[in-house]
Amino acid sequence: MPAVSSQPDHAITVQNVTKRYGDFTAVDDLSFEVRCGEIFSMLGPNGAGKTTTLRMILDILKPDTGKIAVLGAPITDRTKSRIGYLPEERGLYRNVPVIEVLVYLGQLKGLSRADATRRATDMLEQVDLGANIKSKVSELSKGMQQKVQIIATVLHRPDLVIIDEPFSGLDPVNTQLIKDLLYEMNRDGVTIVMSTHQMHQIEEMADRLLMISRGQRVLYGEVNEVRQRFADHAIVVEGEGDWSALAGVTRVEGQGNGREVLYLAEGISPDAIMEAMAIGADYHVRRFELAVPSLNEVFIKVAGENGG
Amino acid sequence: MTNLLTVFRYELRQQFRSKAFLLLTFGLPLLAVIIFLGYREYKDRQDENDKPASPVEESNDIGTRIGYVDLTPEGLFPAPDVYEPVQCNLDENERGFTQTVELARERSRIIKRITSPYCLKGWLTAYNTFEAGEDALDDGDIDVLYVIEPDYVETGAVSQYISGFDMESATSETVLEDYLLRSLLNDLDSQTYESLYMRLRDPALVVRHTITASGETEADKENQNFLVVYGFGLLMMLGIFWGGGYLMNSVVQEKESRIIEIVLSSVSPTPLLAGKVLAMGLSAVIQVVTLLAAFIYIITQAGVFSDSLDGIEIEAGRVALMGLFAALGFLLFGSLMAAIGALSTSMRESQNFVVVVTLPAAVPFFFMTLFVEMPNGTLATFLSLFPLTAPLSMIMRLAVTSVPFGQIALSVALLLVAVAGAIWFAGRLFRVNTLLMGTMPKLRDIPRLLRG
Repeated sequence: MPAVSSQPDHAITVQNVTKRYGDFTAVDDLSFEVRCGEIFSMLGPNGAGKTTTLRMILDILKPDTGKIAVLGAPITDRTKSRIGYLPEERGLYRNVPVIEVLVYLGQLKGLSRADATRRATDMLEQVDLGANIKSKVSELSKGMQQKVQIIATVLHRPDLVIIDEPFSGLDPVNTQLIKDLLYEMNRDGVTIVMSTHQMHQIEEMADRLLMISRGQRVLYGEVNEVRQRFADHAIVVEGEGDWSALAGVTRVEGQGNGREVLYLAEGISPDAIMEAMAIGADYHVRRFELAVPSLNEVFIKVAGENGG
Repeated sequence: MTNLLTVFRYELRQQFRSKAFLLLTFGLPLLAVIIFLGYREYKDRQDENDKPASPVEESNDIGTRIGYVDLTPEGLFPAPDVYEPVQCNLDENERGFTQTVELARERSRIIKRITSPYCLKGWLTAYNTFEAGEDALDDGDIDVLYVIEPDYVETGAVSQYISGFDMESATSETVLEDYLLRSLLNDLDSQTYESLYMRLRDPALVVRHTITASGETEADKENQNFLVVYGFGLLMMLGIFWGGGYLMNSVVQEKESRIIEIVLSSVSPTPLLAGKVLAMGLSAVIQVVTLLAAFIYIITQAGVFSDSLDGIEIEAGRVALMGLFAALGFLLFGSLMAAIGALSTSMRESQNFVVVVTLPAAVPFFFMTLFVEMPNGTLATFLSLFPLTAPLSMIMRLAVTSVPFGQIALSVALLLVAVAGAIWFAGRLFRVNTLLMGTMPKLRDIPRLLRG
């Protein structure tokens, strides 16, 4: 792969990458960066090109055109040992003892057999699987297997963790377990990249996001900034009063939960409305906030506009 | 390189963890040896029980009672029990002596002892007069009477008398001839006795020679050749199919268990495939070696085929060449079977397609007679050059004949090209197909998959 300019504070740099399968363009001239130490989320409809992009970042697939740098340089075997990857289609060797699977995967990431054994044993004990060290994978419950998969991803203490659909098929306990683990690693400086459909998880966890549709970048930036970008010129209020009588309010829509959305005329600021409510004796306000759409609403809107 | 070794060690460890592998590799040969030893022990005990109280009371196995009358003036053929009593069978130590060339003198002595006329005591009864013999025949004491005529030395005349039809007359005749030979040679020293006795008993051991195309003559050892060709061919087949099968299963299992993408994020397809190929190849070699060791142990101990195996000599150079062709054959068919594994989504699916590889590999086996009779013929030569049939064919040819260097070099070159192609083919499919296809691709999809 040709050299790519990469800033030192970027864990991943993708520049004008395109990948085609026959006549189908899976990824189309895509560019983005992932900063070191952030939690970055990729989202998009099914078939948008997220998994293909992740596979190209990991050098499992080669891009047709464009450049990719990981941890400051084009990916090499040495770089791979600094990455932890958990794909969406994930499994484990079924008839092999848990410890053997973990040690093998750890060794492939450059750990010595002794180190891999010690770390795997410690981590299995941390997640209450100490008694199952010598059990075959097929003897574990689905939840237990998911824990083992997570351990396999982070056993070698990677600098970059890439997880495709991290919460797919997880029960609430394991979902929280993985969240805690990702937060903990992130606090220690590990960059996290996750591809997911679960918008509330992105809202909760991610610093920045990239939304892909039909292989192209359609949204990219800070999560809050993206939501703000899609915010209507409106406020959400909860309380009593004749909202439509307020000067500068053009339309009022009930949300059905006691809250109402007040759409503002051009040039009217939310501060002016708040001031008017404070002066008016007939207004009692329990909630007052900007009408920022949820990420899910943004996703549906953008995906709909792009035919995704 | 590190990852290749890691994959190699892991795959080998998993093989040795597999009960099926352990059973086939060590259990089966061990079972064969145990059954053989058990059978031998049983047979020995049975023989012990059946053994006559004294060697001189050797039983007459054919069940025919033979009488004879010696009318030669010199009395050349006294009754067996007139000879000095000797031990007519071998003890444990002597079994070793007879096979040791350095102890030829001792061996001659032993041979003369166990072929002493005395040892036919249980077979023959001597009568002093024709009348006495005739009475014994009439009374049913004997089944056949031989009269060694007075002019025997000049004419060799011996008359046979039987009462009615005797099924065993040919055998009894052989026994009498043997007795006469032993008696005539009895006064010779043991070394002269051995050579004369052995030669006169089997006066001509015919060895057929074939004039080869190059004008050279080769001793025709058809039976031996068949055994060697069959043995090497079978071992090669087992090695290829076992090793290739393990390789294919290993690949399919990684797909079926959906761990392949995790593994490929750490190790590139080429070292992954190479590690597997080496581990499964070594597994197959271990299996073939244990099976061969058990087989050799059993046939050595049992003595079966010992005549057929005696004299089989294959030069070290040719054995090394056979090893080379076996290794190239495994790489070729193993890679193709790995490719089938990469194309399949389940073990069952892969089994349906494996015949595409195993059938060409087995083709030379159908022409085994050809390799024995005309190892340098046109078809045998063609089969040993065509890459898909070359490994097995060349091994079978090398087992029985000298193959021209040019043909060996050409065959190796063609095989190397085929092996490189097969590894590339498997590697490409291994990389792309495993990740992108949830179903078995159609034939027309393969070029696209190869392009990636």
